[in-house]
Amino acid sequence: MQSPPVLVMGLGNWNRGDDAVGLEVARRLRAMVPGHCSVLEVDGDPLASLESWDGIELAVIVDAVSSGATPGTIHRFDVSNQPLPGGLVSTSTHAFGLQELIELGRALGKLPREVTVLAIEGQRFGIGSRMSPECLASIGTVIEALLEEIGCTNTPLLRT
Amino acid sequence: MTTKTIRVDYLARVEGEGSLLIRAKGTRLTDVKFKIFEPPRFFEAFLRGRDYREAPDITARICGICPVAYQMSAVNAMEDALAISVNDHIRDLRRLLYCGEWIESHALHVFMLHAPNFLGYADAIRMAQDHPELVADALRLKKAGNEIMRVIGGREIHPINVRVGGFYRAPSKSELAALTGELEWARQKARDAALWAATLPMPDFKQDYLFASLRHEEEYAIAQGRIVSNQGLDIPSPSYNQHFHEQQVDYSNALQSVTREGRSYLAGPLARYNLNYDKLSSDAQGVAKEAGLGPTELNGFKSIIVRCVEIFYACEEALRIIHQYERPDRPFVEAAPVESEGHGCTEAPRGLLYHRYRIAGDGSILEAQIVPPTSQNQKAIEEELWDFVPPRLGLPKDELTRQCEQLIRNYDPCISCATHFLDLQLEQEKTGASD
Repeated sequence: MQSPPVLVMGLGNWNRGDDAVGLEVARRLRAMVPGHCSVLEVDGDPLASLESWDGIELAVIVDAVSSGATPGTIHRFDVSNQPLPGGLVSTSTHAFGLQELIELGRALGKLPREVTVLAIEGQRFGIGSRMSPECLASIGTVIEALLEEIGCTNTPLLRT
Repeated sequence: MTTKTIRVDYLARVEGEGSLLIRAKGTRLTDVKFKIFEPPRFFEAFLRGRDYREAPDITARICGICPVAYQMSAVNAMEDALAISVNDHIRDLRRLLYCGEWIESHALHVFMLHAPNFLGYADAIRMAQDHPELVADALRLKKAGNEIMRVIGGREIHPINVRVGGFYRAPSKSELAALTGELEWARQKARDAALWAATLPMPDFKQDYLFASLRHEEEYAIAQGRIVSNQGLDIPSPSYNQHFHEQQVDYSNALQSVTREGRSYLAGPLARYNLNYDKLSSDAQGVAKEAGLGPTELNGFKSIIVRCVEIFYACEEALRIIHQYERPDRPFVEAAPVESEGHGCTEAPRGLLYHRYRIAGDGSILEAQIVPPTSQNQKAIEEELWDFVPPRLGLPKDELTRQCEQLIRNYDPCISCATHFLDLQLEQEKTGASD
C-alpha cells in the first residue's frame, strides 16, 4: 500500500538564535525521511507555505516557542481539530505567525487531516545571537519524536 | 523523550512591538506616542567591516516581505560609490524583480492585513471564514509576485541572485515566459480588487500631506529616479541628507525622519501616486478612474485602492518586460573597489528606502546608513493621529484601537516580526468640578 503524503515543516529565522531550531531540525531531517515525506524550511513569510499543504495527509510543524518553560523543553500540540493554545490573536503587522497560518489553513479547508506541532522552548531570540546549548541539545530528541510522528522510526539513517 | 503539553501564550518571534500611547484630558488630546521596533539600526552596525559585495544579501535579511527593496537600494548605493553604470538589460530585470515584490507585498497588505480592518474582522482568519474566495485569490495574487522573485532572485524570500553590478545569473527567456499566464490572471484580478476596494466603507479624512517619492522621467518610479515632493523638492539621492534628517525620540528605538525644516512627510503608495500619476500607463490610470480615484488623492485610507492600482501596474510592467526580454550574455558589470561614498534610493512597497555607504579602498564597509520607509513615516503617523483621535475619544477602547490600527495600516508600517502590533494605552483624565 502506498504511504500517504507527509509534510515536515521547520519554521524560524536563521539569524535569531533559538528561533532557528525548527529550521535546523528540518535541515537535518531531510536526509532521513523516505520519498513520501517532503521537508520544507520556512525562514520567511510562512503564508507562502500554505500551498505545500495541498494533498498532504499528515503534517508535522517544528517551531521555537517562548512560554517561560525550561529551555530545550519540547511541547507537542495536536492541532488537527483545535487551535494552538494561546487564543487567536492577530499579533503582527506583516509576518503571519504559526497560529495564524494553521487557522487560515483551516478556514480555507487546506489543513491536512492530521497536524502536529512540535514546539521547542527557546531562550535567545536576539538578532545575530547563537542557538542556546539547551536548544541545540534538544534537536536529536526532536528528530526522534518527529520520526515517530511520521512512522519512520525504523529508518536506518537515523542511526548515522 | 520529554514531552509536556502546556499553555503557551505566544510562539517565537518575540523581538518587537508597536505601541500607541494616547493621553487625553476630557475630550482634549494631550499626548500621542507611537512606538515601534526598528531592526535596520542593528544592521547598520553589522555592516561595518563587511565587504561591499555582501551589502545586498545582508540587508535583504532586514525584512522577509520586502528584501528586494533592501537589495536594490544597496546595489544602487554601491554602484554609485564605484561609478558603475548598469545596462538596460540589468535595469529591466531589476524592475521586473521589484514588480514581483510590489505584487506580493501589496497583496499581503491589502487583503490579509488592511481589508479585515475595513470589513470589521479581527483578522484575516476570521475574514477567511466568511470570504474564503477573497482570501484564496489574495494568496494566489501574492504567489504570482513570489514566483517572479523565485525565478529571478533564486528563491521567494531573501533572494540570493542579486549582486553589485547586476545578477549572478540571468533567467532564460522560457523561465520568464512561464510566468505570464499567472501574471495575466493577476492583472485582471488586480483590476477587480481596485473596484472591490472602492466599495469598502471609507472614512472621510483628508490631510494636507507633504508627499515625498522618487520620480523618473520615463517611467513610474520604482528602482531609480530623483527624490521629489509636492512642494517643489527635486533632488538626486546623494542630496538626501541635505534635505531630510533622522531624529531620536526618547520613547522609541526607531529614528523619526523629518525635513530639514522639521516637518513630517509621507512616503509610500499615496505619495508615489500623487507625484507620478502622469507616469502610470493609460490602462492603470483607467483602473484608478474606474475605482473613483482622481489624479490627486488626499485621503490616506484610499491608499488601499492605490495599492490595488499599483498591483495592476506592476503586473502590466512585469508582462511588458517579460515579453521584450532577451537574455543578456553577461548579467553583471564588474568594478574594483575604491575609497568612496555612495547613495541609493528606491521605492519599497511602503515607500522611499535610502541607503548610504562609505567604503574603504579594500572594499570593506566603513559606515552604513539605512533609512527605511517606516521611520520616514513615523512622525507623519503620529501627527495624523493627533487630528484623527480627538473626535473619536468617546468610542469604546476596542473600537478606538481598531480605527487607529486602520489608520496606521494606511502606511503599511514595517514592524518586522512584531509580536504585538498595536497595544493601545489610553489614559483619560476626567475634567470638571469633581476633579
